[in-house]
Amino acid sequence: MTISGSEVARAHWLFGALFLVMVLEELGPPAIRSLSGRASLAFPVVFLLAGVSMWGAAVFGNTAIDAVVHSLWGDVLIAAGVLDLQRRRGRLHAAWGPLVLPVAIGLCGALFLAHSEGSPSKDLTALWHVLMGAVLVAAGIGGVVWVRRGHIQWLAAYGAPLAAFSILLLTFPRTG
Amino acid sequence: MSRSTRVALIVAGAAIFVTGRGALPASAHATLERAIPSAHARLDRSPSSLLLFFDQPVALSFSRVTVMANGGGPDLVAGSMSEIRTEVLVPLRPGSKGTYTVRWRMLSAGDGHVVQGAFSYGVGVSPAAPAALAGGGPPVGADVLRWLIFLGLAVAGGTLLIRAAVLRPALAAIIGRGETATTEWKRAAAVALVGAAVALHADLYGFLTSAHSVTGGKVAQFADAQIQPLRAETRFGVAWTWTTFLWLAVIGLIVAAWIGDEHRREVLLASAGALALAGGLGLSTSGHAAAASPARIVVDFVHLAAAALWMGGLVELATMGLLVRGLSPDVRPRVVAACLERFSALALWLIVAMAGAGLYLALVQARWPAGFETAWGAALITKSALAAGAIALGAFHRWRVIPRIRAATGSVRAVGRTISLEAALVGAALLAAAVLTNLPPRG
Repeated sequence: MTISGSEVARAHWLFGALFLVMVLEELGPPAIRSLSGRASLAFPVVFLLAGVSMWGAAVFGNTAIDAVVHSLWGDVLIAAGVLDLQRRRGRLHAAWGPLVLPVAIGLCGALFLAHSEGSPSKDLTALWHVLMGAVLVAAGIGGVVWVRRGHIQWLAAYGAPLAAFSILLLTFPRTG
Repeated sequence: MSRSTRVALIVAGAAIFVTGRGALPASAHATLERAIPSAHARLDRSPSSLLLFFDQPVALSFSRVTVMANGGGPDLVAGSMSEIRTEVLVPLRPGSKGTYTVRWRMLSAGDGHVVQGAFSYGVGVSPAAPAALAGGGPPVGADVLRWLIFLGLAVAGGTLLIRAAVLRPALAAIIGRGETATTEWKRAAAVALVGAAVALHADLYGFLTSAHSVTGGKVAQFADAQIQPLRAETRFGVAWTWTTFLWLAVIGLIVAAWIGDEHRREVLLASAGALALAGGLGLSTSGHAAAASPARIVVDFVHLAAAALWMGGLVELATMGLLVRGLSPDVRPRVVAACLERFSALALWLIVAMAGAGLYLALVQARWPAGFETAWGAALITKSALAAGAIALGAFHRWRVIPRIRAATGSVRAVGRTISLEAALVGAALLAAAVLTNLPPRG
């Protein structure tokens, strides 16, 4: 049994829609009000759930590289989700706490690039993976800059690549 | 020493003795018993087929046979293999004069282990040795990965369950439940989380290593290998699937205990421990015992679970120094003695269960005396010797150390060191067990 191209595409579309909602939920309030208004637990919880589902994708992936990369994604997302959840609940006070999610997003982007490099597939989906990896790396860098500068003007550097990532997921090509 | 204690010790001692001395190879891996043409045969004409006789069924979908001339040339295998019970028929094209190497790699239908081998025969000549396989070789790290799974099982399942059933009640009886609940759980949760994460990852890479041993080739090429059929259609693949989700659930429960409400914490941690211990079923249902019967799977699980609880308890006791450090000097020895005493009483029965199950498995799987001369037999003896050393140290703790601490003549710090040594011996025995599970019983 292998997973068909249309099943893979559908999973990406679903994840894209969810991710877009989360990006709006996460970055909408600070864009309208201020950084201090950001206390929603939804974003880290979604990271946690996404991490578990990535391990599911590792188990049901078709190739060895699928299994390895999805499991690493799962690790990054679960660890980042737990740490950020604790930070938002006021139980983690480390100075690096606000950097956890942007760094995790950047790492996921790097894994996307590794996945597309190691994947046997060289079709349109491979190109999409490269693009998705690149925008996630950009989002990670933008997020770090936004957190370090602490100014609302830098929010676009974080939010725009994340929105682009959602759109790439929503337009993921169906093959096979 | 009570009568029941003495009986338990005698049973454990007898089991260790028989497991070490009399244990023999388990007939679980599919083994090539003979072939036509046979190894080293000199034939007048090139054969039209090859017949391989195994001692148990193999899964042909994941098996491979090649027959090639030693000097190079095409594979003589002419079509699909077929099987009748345990015999595999391989159609061959005719070949010219020379030595031919038969290389076979079979997946045991029972326990999911891959077995492989090679032999040569000659056509018109006396055969030379089989040709070497370029870029092949055994998968690296399979033993270490299995060992890490064992350790993860013990550290996640064993520590949390022993803590809930033995150590916390002992602590609460002396220093009060409220005081023990302050920060002690963080240490246990952190240790268990590390254990579960290690087991989750070792399970994944263990599966990939098994898959690589089926597909062969260089590791870089393996990235593209289709592993989905192996996951869905083999016993070790199915076991890996559900143990992965089980480990994720264990991690989820520990995380929930960490970030959740205080009053549910202990229930969540104990549940995580029980679930982690159930992960041992994944090993039992995909190992040697799975090739035999459900009863043997149960016995194998008892063997594994008892060892995991023993090891987990030792890890708990060894890291207890962190906990008692904050207590007053007069309370510290009482806490250590109480925890040690409670665990020691339970450990005795864990050892009886472990050794008894091991003895049973050895007796039903053994074929005297062939196993002693194999690597499998050597691993079994090593494992038994290490376990016996740890049991001796456990007896020393029970009958020497505890009375000394109670009489205030023993050092609490010294106990930590000898418990760490006992844990190291059990850990080494688990490594020997990991080697054992990956070895073909008959060399």
